[in-house]
Amino acid sequence: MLRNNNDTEERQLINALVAGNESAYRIIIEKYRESVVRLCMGFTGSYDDAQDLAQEVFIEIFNSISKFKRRSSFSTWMYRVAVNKSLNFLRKKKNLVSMEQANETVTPANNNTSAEKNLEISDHARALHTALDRLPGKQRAAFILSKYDDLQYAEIADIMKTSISSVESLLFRAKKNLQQSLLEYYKNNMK
Amino acid sequence: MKCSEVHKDLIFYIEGDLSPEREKALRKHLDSCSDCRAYEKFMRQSLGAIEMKKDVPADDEFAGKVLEKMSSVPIKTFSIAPVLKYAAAAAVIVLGVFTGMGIANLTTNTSTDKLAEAGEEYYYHDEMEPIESFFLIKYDEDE
Ligand SMILES: [Zn+2]
Repeated sequence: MLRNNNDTEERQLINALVAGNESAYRIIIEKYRESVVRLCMGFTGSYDDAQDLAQEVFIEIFNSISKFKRRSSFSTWMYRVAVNKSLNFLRKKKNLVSMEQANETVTPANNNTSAEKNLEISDHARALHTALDRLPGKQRAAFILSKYDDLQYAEIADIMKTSISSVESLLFRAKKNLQQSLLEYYKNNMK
Repeated sequence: MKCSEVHKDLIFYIEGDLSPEREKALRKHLDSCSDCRAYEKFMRQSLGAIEMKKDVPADDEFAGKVLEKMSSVPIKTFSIAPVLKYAAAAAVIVLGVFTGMGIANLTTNTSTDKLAEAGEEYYYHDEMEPIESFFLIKYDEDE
């Protein structure tokens, strides 16, 4: 996925993006939509949210393409934008949740809808997402890039601007923390 | 091996990260402990949810939605905005001179901030940051 013999092709495509060429936009979306949506799934836990977030990611990529200095491959830069957007999304969501909690105006109607929603999600998917939600941002990003997008450690290190050994350490801590959260979830809900 | 040790290492066992000896010891415990086997099943299924979420369904409308959203956002404003901001700030200062207001208590900083707030609907502050530095700042905040 990094530098290969499609270099010239990629360079032309980026030039077309910079020029605001609509078919270039469509080619990029066609090529990377699944990767970006998968990443967003890891951050949001819901397909609808992931779709919306992924659209925002592409808009950001196209609007910021002039900031892409070609020091890394396009996909590395793209993932960097996507991780950024996703962490931002989580931050906004957290703020919203804490605002709602502060207001404490949960109506019976709200309770009903969330109960219905919860029934749609399987216990395991919910357990996993609850555990992911508790990870610090860097650990979560490394884990999602590795497990949802199947990226190599070297690529994750490039995206996160860190070393391979730091990625290994982030993944180790992510797994340890996930295990801890899953064990708690298991003891509280499944036993 | 105790159950508590399984609780500490199970995810690494499932991921294949353990040394052969450690893996063997853990498997031996699992063979003889139904509690830990139940926990192992839960852990495997929870991590298995990742694989299920990886299937991204086809979506013919996706590109259209992105392009539609883009056309409703004034892209050019991003690059023009800072220029406008300073031009407007300069205008305020010039106005201040003409109306005899003291420039001393109207610093450039406060006037630009106020004007930036007033024009907020036309651009997004977070998206005006260069991506590279934005990324680093966001990470610094996290852990
Ligand atoms: Zn046991």
